[in-house]
Amino acid sequence: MQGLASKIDDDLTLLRILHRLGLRVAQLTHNERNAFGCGCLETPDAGLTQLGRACVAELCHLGILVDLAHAGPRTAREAIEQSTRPCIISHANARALRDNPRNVPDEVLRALGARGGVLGVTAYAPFCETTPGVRPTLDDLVDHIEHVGQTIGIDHVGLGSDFFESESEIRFARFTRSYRAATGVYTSPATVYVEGFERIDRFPRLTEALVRRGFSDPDVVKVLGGNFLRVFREAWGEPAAGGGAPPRADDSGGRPAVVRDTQVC
Amino acid sequence: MDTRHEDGESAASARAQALHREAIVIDGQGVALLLPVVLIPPAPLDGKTFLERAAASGVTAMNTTLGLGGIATGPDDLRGASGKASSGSSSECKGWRPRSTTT
Repeated sequence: MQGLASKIDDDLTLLRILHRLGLRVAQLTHNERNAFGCGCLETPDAGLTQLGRACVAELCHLGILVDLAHAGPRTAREAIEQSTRPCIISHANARALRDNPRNVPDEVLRALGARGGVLGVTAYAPFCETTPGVRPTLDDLVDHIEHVGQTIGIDHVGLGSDFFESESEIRFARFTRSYRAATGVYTSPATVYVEGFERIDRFPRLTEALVRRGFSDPDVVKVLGGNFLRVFREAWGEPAAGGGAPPRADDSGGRPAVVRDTQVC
Repeated sequence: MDTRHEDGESAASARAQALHREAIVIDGQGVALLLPVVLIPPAPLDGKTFLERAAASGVTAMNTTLGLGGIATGPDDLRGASGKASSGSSSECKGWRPRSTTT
């Protein structure tokens, strides 16, 4: 789920219901500021809020993976510090290679990797460009995989295509008008992904590109899914009996203690 | 003609195919299949649905996002959707029943 705060009206008690409905990954913010923290287009990034800290604690308690894609660097760093389980950044690239607000600075990558998390490298063209305004290629995307691997280790790299095939031209136009700073010059959902890896059908091409770049077999397997699988196991843990969320030790009915305390104050 | 180069290319291709066939492939951020308001699955391509193409592409699992409030779908009524799902009254949720829980 993207932009969690607006989806739940900032009401953390809904997280338990959503967990029962199957929610297993939740993104704290979209590009803007919300009740939990700041999105990547907000300046300055004021970091994780008090409610955001409570939210991360509750997500960890329930076994919902914290996704920090779209978050601002400070918000992401503080959420990683707050989380008791590894986090993910499901779809973004390395800011060291492409200076785009949606991409992740190395300092955040290091924090993510140090806590066992994974970055899903994405096919979204504006985040892979080597020359502004020129559609990048699959090789450019592999550069990002290589950079993240060299910076924090290959155990922390995955894939997050963001192939959004249901996007209509009209909706895409609205999206790009809202987020010009992040989306660049692309005017059609058909061309907004890197050349050579632009649709769900293209995953085998990515594997071949990794092999040709010289990645070892075990590293290719990790990038393709092994790393995400490890994080899913660590974040979700063993399912509770009956598949429900684990009970809390207190009588708060699911409301995180920190929120209750805040209300008392 | 450099046949050694061609052999190398072909070996890399074969190795990639074998790896891809055996690997668990996880798309950490896939498509929004069921936005709460618009409920549009991606259109078929070459007569194949999105999920058929994903499976043919070797994708084992995909993180599917529920929606993008405000920017693409208009205001979402997740609370309402949760309520419908719980009561089984939503057509998208027919057959869904809450699992038993220990709490």
